[in-house]
Parts: sequence; structure tokens; C-alpha cells
Amino acid sequence: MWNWLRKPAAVHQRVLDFEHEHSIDKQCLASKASFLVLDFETTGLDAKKHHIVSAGWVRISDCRIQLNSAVYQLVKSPASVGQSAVIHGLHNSQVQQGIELEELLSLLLQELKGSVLVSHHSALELNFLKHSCQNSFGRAPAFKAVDTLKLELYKMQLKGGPVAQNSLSLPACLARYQLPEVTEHHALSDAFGCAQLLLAQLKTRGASCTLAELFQQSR
Amino acid sequence: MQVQEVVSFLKQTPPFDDLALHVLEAVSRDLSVVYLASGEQLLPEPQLLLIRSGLFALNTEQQRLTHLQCGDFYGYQLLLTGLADPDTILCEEDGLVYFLPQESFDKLRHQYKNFDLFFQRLFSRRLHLYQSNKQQSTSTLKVADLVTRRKVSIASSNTVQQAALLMTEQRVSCLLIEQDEKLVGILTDRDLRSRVLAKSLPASTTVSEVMTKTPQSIETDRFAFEAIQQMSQYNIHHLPVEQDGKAIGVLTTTDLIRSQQEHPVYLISHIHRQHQAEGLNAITPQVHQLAMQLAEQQIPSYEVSSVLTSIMDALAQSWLQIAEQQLGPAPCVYSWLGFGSQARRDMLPSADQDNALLLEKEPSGAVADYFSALADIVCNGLASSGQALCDGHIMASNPELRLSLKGWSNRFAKWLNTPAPQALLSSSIFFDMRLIYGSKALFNVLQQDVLARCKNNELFLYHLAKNATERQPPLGFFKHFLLEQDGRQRKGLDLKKRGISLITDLVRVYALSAGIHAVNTRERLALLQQQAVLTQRQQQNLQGAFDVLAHLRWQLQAEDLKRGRHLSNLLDPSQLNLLQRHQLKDAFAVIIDEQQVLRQRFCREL
Repeated sequence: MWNWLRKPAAVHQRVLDFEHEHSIDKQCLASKASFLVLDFETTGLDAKKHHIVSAGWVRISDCRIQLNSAVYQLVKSPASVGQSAVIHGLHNSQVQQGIELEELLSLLLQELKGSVLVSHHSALELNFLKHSCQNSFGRAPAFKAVDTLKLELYKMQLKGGPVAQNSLSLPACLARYQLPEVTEHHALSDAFGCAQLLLAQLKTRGASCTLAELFQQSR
Repeated sequence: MQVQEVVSFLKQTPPFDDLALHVLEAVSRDLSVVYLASGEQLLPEPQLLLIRSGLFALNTEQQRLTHLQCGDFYGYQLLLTGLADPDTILCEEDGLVYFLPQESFDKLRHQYKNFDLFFQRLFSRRLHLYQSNKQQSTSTLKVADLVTRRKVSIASSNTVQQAALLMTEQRVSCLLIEQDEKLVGILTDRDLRSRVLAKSLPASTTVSEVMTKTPQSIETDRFAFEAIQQMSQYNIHHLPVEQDGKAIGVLTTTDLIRSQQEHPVYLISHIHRQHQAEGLNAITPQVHQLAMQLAEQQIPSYEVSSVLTSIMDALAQSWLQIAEQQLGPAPCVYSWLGFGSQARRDMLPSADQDNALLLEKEPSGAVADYFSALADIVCNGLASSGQALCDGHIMASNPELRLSLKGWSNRFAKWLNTPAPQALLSSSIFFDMRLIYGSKALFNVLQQDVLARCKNNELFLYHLAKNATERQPPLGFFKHFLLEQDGRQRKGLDLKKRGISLITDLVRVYALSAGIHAVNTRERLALLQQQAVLTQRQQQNLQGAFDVLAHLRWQLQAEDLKRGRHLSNLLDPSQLNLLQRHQLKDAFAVIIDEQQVLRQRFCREL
């Protein structure tokens, strides 16, 4: 677990590799892009204090969710899951069977190369990624994400009128597009739900929508 | 890792629902998911498409074929045959579609026979013949299941002493008497006692002198309860069993007692034991109880209907015997006829009376009075036993329906020679007729006469076929509605008017055109195929469609009975599960196709 302390240079290299190889053409059409839709379950909301307990992701390419790319990982947490177990349903004994955080990050960096990161309320995933990389590798790449929550907010604000509380939660968004509901707070189910939502959102934006527009609207 | 939502959806979608969980998890990983917005068109590719949500219209070049919605498939035709069809799929309401690649589809077809069968049948529009693994139907007992295939026979020229010796040696209580491999008589140990010993006949008496000649017999494929019915009706304890016209053994009352858990057997013999009106009046709850039990046992609906029809036959026979007791012997030979569903042996608990009398003599004077009284007792009696009076007065209590052979023959001739469409519509029920009680000979003459008149009567068949294709099944479903030809939507589906009757009407035309005696739809279909009037595929398709519709109607009425509701033929499409929806769509498609074939065959310009 403390390997990175002994070989900081080698581990650091992974981040450098990622930064070197990961490039995204922002003028690429969204319909042609490759997305990695990610969800974390954590012990709390503060990336500085809390820990990732599970991660789920699934890939979208050519506007299709590729289910063979679906991954679900439990992550060993240095602290007790505490009260967060109420939300994600994972207990200490399960979490301790997971992989090391460093291994998860390496996996994710590998998967993310050339793909656009997508999350619902991406601030959480981005913060945890940043802090975890910083802690594990001593360096964090500059992550950028498409946020399905922000995309939804953008559309609602365009239409005008007040945005009701809770109307931006993942279940509420799925319901708005009459998409099948998913089990909440299961990292892979949420990632899958988020991926379905992105497909629907891409349709409403038309065929000419580029990644630049998505990033713009995710701010 | 599998996505749980996708696996659960597969788990409730036939034919995937038959597969083990670990298989479904593997399948789910092979899928890709696409979102379509309304107005978008789905382009063909070699993948299996499974609709997850939304609404899609399937069109050919000219017309709308049907709607696809959650749980429906597309693309299997391309995967199975390599040939794309000219259909297009247009998204009408935004939705998700799952795509399964050809390799995975082929692998599943290889490994799971039922999975393969499902799509083969979906493709050949014979999905209605598909049975999910879980629904294994038990069947009611048949004669073949009960009879011991051990034939002990002797020639009629032997002496009674030789017969007695053989019976002792073989430890049997009855002998079959055969001549040239044909059953000519039966001799029981009771006959030896009462007809030989009690009459002081010598041991040298030949068997032919004391045997029962041309005895009752039954075929192996009949139901056990039919054997009971026959034995109690004729008060016999030994019933020779035949297969393909040859005796193979004897069914005894002991054999039947062994099978006594079967309820129809109990009920029918109970009915035959009733010689008083009081006993028959109270029978309705028992009949309904039995109908519900049979429906719940997942017995094929045609068998359930056949059981119910036998009970109704037994009721009619018992009421006729009671009437004869009250009125004294009949002044002439007569036949009690059943029409419609009773004749076809596909009655339901909701079936009303359709009966009539065929008389040896002209109904005038005392003869008329006798049969008028007899018909009143029987029709009212049947009503008190739960078989409702016929709204259309197609009952023997109607003097118009108590006719001599000549009277009936003239009546049919009138329908046949001047087939006004309206008259035909109301008379088509008479062309399905069966003898319920009385003279078989008299009935046979009438049936021969009618069949001879129908055959090759092109004008009559033209009108009959035209009538049979006037009403059409709905195109399919669309959410909780039926999709009608003219684009209308409707909430309930009348399974009888828009389904079952369409098939019986269609099959009747063929049967009458070919001079077929049978009236039961399944039997008619089998004979039509044997005589090459219908292809095997047509026969299977029609029978499958008929079975699906009949089964649904039984379930519907059994549920009505259970809840004490009014018995209905109206099905609410939202109550259907996915497999039933597939099967119904399919049955409709078969009917639409076959109506076209029928029109082409009989309704060309004369």
C-alpha cells in the first residue's frame, strides 16, 4: 500500500504518461466522441476528509452505451464507512475486500485516455480524483468533465422560469426523459443512468453539437 | 461487471426469462444501448433489437404493420436468414433500444433450444406455438392412460365352456369376441351366469348365441371421463377399447375407480345418477367449481372446453331422460341436436343453449304436443342447471326448431340456395351440429343431406367465405390500447368476436366445402390437412392461433368465476404479459393472412 512512498518517481510517471497521451479534440462532434461515464460512492462529500468506497463506469462510443465496458470496483477505505453506509449500502467488511485506491486510480487513468469524463454533478468526482491522485501520486492531472446535471440546468435556464428543488437529481432527470429508473447510490447503476441521460441530452442538442459546447454548458 | 437494471429487465422478458441468471449477466455485457428521438429512423444492422422503452412504428412500403414497444424484438429476420426485409422502423416516442450482436444471438440459439424456438417461431409467425419452459401443462387422463393393453379374445364359434375355461385360465372377467380381426361381441362372466346357467343352456352353446353383439367401444385417444359417461349411460362395466379400428383391450369400472381423483369423472357419473330434477337443479356451483379447477391446472383450453361440453351433454341427456319419465315414451324416434359451441365441443362457462329437435315424424297433433312439452322441460331444466336460455331463441322450445327430417332438409336447402348474407349470418351456427341424445341414424341422414348440399355449392361458399372475412382482428397493441385497422384505439379486446369466432368461421367454410363431418375446430383442421385442403403450416398456424385465443378466454372467464363477476369475453390489453402480447399479435397476424387466403379461394368473381 505504501509502495508509492518508496518509488515516487515511477508512480508519478503514470500521471505524466496520462498527461502526455490524453488529448481531446474539442471540435470533435459529440456523436463521434468516446465518453467514460463515472460515478463514485464516498464516505462523505469532502474530498479532503472522506474516501472513495466504490466506483462504477461505463463507456459510450458512437452514441451507444457499450455494456461490455462496464466496471464496478469496491475500494479499500482507510477509514470506516461510518454513517455513509446508510446511503450506498456498503459496509466495512465489503469495502475491505476492494482494491487499493492507487490501483483504482491507475485503472481509471488508463481508461480515461482519449475519452471524455462524464458525471452527474461532476464536482464530486473531479474533487475526489484530484485529491486522490495528489495523495497517491504526488501529482494530479488537470481533469475536465462533462456534467449531465449542468447540461440539464443549462437547458432549463434557457427555457426560463424557476428551477425547482430536486428537479436536477439523477432520478428526476431520468424521469423527465421517460428513461427507466436505476438503483440510486450504486456506483455502476448511477453511472449507467447518467450514461442514458447523456444519450438523451445529446439528442436534444442535435447532430452538430461539439465537445466544446458540452464543456461550455458544463461550467 | 453487469448492470443490474439491464439484467432485471432481461429476467422479465421472454425468451430471456427462461435463462439462468449467470447467463443473463453474460448476455447483458454483450449489449449496447441506443437512445432514439421521435422522428428518427432505425437502420437495419445484423443485431437483435430489443425495445426497452418508447414507441416505434414498423412499416412496410405501403402500410403500418404494427407498433413495437417495451419487450418487442426486431432484426431476428436478418439474423436468422441473412435477408433484410423492406420494413422500416420509425421512432414515434423517444426511447431506448438494446442491441445484441449476431455472435451472441447465435451462441444463445445454439445453447438454448427454447431460445432458438422462440425466434424461429417469431420469425415464422408461429410464436403462438411457443411454450415457456415454466408452463408445463398437465393433461387430463385419456383412455390410453388407463387401459391395460392385454387382449383376451375368442372366436364366436367356440362353445361357452371353452370361453369359461379361457376366462379362468387368463383370470379375466370378460372376453372379446372377434371375427376377421374385427370386434363383433363381448362376453362377460355375468353373461355366463345370467344368460347360460340361469337359462339352463348346455355347455355346448356357442358364444355367438349368448354374447352381446356389436358392443359399445371407445377409442384410446378419448378422455377417461368420456368412457365413464358411456358406461354409465349404457349401464355397462366393461368397455372394449379400440385403436385404429382394432380392439386392444378392455376398460373396466375397476380401471376407472383407480383414476378417481379426476373430478370430471365424478361429476359426470353424478349427473347420470340423477333421476330427479332436484338433483340437477343444484349442479351449477359444482360445474363452475370444476371449470375453475381445470383452468387453474394449466390444462390446455381445448381439453377444458371438451370436459365442460361433456358435462353439458350429460346434463342434457339426464334432463331428456327425466322428461321421458314424466311424459312417457316418445311417440316416435327423435334426435336432440346441439349447435354452435356445444356441437364444436368448445363450450365455456358463459355458453348459452343452442339446441333443437329432429323428429322421425312430422310435428303435428299428439306428436307436436309431446315434443313441445319435452322441449320445455329440457330447456327450462338446463336453464335451472346453469345453461342460460338462448337470447336468439335457438332452442328446441321454439316450434321453428322442432322439425322432421324433411322439415330440416328444406330449411337447410333454403339457406343454401338463396344465401342472403344476413340470413346466412344468423344461420351459420346451424352448420355446426352434433347429436347429443337420441337416434344416431336419423341424425346421420340429416348430416349427410346437408353436407352433400354444401359441397361444390359455389354461390353458398362464396357468401359464407365473405361473411367469414367481414370482421377482422385488430392489428396489434399500442400501450394499453388496441390498434385498429382504421387507426382507432379501443380499450378492450373481444376475444370471441375479434378472434376465436373468426377462426371457427374460417375453418367452417373449408370443412363444408370438403364435406367434412367433424365439427370440432381442431378435428376439422386435422382432417382438412389430411385431405390436403390446407397445408400443414396453415393447419398448425390456425390451430396455434386458436389455442392461444381460447386459452386467454378461459383464463379470463375462470378469473370472472373466481371473483363472482359477470362472465365476459372482453380482455384488457394492459393485463397481458409480454409473452401473451407476442402470442396475441401473432394470432392476429395468422387470422389476417388466412382470411386473405380464404377470400382468394372462395370469393373470386363467379
